[in-house]
Amino acid sequence: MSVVETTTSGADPNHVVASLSVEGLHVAFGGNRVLQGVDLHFAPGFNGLIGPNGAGKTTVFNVVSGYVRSSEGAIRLHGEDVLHMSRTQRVKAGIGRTFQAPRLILDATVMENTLLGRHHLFRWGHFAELLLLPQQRREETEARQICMDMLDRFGLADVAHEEAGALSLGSQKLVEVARALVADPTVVLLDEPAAGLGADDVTVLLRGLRELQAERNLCVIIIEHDLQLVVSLCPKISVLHFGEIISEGSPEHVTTDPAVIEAYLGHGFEAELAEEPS
Amino acid sequence: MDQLLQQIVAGLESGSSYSLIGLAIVVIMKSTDVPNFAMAEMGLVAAFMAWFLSGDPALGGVGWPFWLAIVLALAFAAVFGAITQFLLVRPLTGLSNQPLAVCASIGLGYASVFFLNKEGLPTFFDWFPVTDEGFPLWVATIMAVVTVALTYLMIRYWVKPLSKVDHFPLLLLTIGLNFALGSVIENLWGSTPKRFDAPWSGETFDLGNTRIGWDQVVTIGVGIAIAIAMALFFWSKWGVRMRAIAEDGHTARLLGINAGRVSLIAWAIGTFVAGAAMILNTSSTVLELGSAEGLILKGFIAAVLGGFTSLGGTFAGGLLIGVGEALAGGQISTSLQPTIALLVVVVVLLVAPGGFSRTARTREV
Amino acid sequence: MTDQALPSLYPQKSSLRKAVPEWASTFAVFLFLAFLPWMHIFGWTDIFDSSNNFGRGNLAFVFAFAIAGVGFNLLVGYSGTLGLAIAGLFALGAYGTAVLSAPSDAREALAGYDWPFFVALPVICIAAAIIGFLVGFPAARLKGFFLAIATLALGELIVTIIRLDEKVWDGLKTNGGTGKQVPQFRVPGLDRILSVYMLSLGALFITMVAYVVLTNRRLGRTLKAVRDIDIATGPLGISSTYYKLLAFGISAFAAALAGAMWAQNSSFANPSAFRTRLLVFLLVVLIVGGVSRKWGPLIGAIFFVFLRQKLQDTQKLLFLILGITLILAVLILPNGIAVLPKQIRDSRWVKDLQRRLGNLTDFSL
Repeated sequence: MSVVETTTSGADPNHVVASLSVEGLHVAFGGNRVLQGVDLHFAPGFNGLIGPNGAGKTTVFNVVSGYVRSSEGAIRLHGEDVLHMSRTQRVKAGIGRTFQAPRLILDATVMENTLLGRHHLFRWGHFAELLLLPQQRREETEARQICMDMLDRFGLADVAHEEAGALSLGSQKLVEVARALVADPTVVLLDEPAAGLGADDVTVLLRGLRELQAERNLCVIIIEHDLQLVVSLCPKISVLHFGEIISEGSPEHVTTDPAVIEAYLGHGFEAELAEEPS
Repeated sequence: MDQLLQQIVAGLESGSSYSLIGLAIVVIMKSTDVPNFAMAEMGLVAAFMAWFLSGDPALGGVGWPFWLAIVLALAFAAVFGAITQFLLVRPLTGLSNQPLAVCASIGLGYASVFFLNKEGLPTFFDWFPVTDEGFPLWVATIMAVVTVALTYLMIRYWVKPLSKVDHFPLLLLTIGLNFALGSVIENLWGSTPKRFDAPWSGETFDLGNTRIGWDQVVTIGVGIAIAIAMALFFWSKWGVRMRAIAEDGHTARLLGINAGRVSLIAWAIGTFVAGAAMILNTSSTVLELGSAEGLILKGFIAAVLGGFTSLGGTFAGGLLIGVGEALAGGQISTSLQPTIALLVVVVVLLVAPGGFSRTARTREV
Repeated sequence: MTDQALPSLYPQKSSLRKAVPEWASTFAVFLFLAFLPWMHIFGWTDIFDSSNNFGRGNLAFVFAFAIAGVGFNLLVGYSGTLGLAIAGLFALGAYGTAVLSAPSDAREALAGYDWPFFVALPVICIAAAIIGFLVGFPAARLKGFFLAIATLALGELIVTIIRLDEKVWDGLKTNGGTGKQVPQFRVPGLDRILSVYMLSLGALFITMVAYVVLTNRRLGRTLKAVRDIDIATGPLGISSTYYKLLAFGISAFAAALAGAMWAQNSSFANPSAFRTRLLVFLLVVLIVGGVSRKWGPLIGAIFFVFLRQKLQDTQKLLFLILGITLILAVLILPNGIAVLPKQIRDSRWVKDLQRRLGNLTDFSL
């Protein structure tokens, strides 16, 4: 039942070196088979991962970031297998991610929360920190500078020293995106970054992401329910349904694919959706 | 061979009370999700109560019939557990702290009238530049009313109820309760060991060549009876609710289960069982403050062996510890015995945190 | 990079707080404490009258308990792991320094290994940190109350090892359950009490500076992440296991240091002083002062030592009051005394007052 189309846009894995590719993922929670042989190849640029609720989108992220073990298959980051790596090692290899619900320390400042993202890049240990070594202090100041720049991109510089708990949900999600990006990742997994954000925040988020992607040639993978946003942002979209990829390709291809429309709306709605292209 | 049988029976006897303490801990854990460090002390209060009610008037007791004293003490234990839950545990599980506010302010008000009228400010405040003599009754009354009002308002309105159920305060609460109860007992009944004789104490019979005490039979029998009764309880209406709360408190509440009442019942039952355990244990050894200290640890080992969920596992765990201890006591030095018991806890928790139970609950505090 | 000026990289405090940097206020407090023995400003408190030996000794006890509290605070308040082995590690510090620095040719209660005090102290503290690190291994595997029980058992285990008979382990030299005389370290030029006072103050100073430096920087925020968003630490590149172990190690170091200072002050160590009772003392110090507050442990320690001295004649009452204090602190003041100013500052009527004052005169508080 899986209809994998990879020829419609320039996202053919045979032509572009994939930043992240997952092959043959199988995950089952008890008898519930969540992923059934998922193959995905993500090139630098924006990649959308959509699908109805319970399709297994977040599970793909969880497998890639090391929360869930896949019973078989492979995960390759720039061609290197990361399946055997721990979560921490995967971060060091360059995989960053955010969570659906923001996971911030609510009684720490926005700056401190963002600095956590750079944790693995610190070269000096805590003993150097205790002794207040100048090198360590310089490193901390540099990290703060980088974080402040990143917060500025997402319009958060003014609230950098406020407690994260005092921020709105939208701002908290932006902080989390900033925290994932200061870690200098090459592949960023964003789990519904725009859910719960106001229109202004979404504009800021998209502008920031586009700038950074262009500067660093990042591979950004976005799970999002706002189809309009995904269509406008991602040249390549993959659709997941019941743990299988049912459609893949350009936004035009995916939004008109009958398999996708059926997955989202069930039988009988194909005509209705075709009438209002977004 | 005879000696071995004797040691096993002695082990089963002490293991029976370990099991009961373990079961009491598990019941409270199931409903309130806190390891009650005060469990044995709460039971010890009941044991002292039973001793006090049935004791010889010449030794400071009341001298009522033994069985009446036991019934009253166990009833007291259940009520005591319920009151503890109602006053202290409820506010920490996100429910109203009204009862605590009322009781604390009335208690403080009474105490302040008493002290201010009789003795002036307590010596605790002797640095405060006021006369040492008592205040007139009307002054004391006014001061007490102010105290009551302030206490009530403070607890009621200043203290914000906890937004999420946090287990850390609950754990601390039971540690504090453990400490406070020990000292209440010491203040009321002193710290000297007491003989608490049951009618069956000292009576023995011979089984083959082995002499067995009736107290051993009674302790083991009552332990098994209570364990069976508890297992049956968990299939009753309230028992099923309790298991539902233990499984998934949030969903259970959404389904309309009154978590507060379930918790109240669990505390009453838990304290009742702990009271029975302490009465059985102290009637076959001696009644003293230190009785609780050893038992709480063994109770915890039993509960750990049952993975804090399984009643059967807990009961078997308690008996196992008792027998193991009795057999080891004969072979290995008694000086090393507490060290061995503690090592068992650590090793069991490290190697198999789930104990005998396959579905151990590893929750975050 | 944008051209507009970005806010400072370090937080801007309100004007009054900015005028006094944190390091300066910390140093000022310690400078004041260092000259306190020659000032007569606390004569009215009697207990903390720093002009006589009684008051100086009590203050030294305050410092010792505060050291343990600071380490405990890092463990509980920052990393959020409830490790209860602290009483045992405190005992290790007290006994360890006593045994190592005692003369080797003395009689039983004072026999030891003849090490210089300033060699024995760091060795014991580092040994405690390593044990704490090992104690932390359950933290990696266990969560919540399992951890609390396992660490409690481990703390007790250390005390039972100290109590072991000479016959079981000859080289231990802890003199069994009867207690150990502690050889005094004398700072040149000072009498006994002043020497203890300065030693404890110096140890507290080092602990406090380390605490301030570490918690305001990377370690502090990383431990908070382990506490609050443990599940999300993986994708941040933080190994939560390692940080829990580290927190255990640091708190163990502080506990042993505190134990050594306590032993220097009380000059006699008795194993029964380190039972659950000490854990409750330290919990009172931590909770009353306020979890994860810098001055919390010091405030808590002042409160505790004050209470202990006031109720010295009635030990039973002391334990009752401490138990009740712990219960009430958990119920009423879950954030501790040190948070009171913040709680008042954040309260609605103070905000209102500030706004009105701000309208009149434009200074910020």
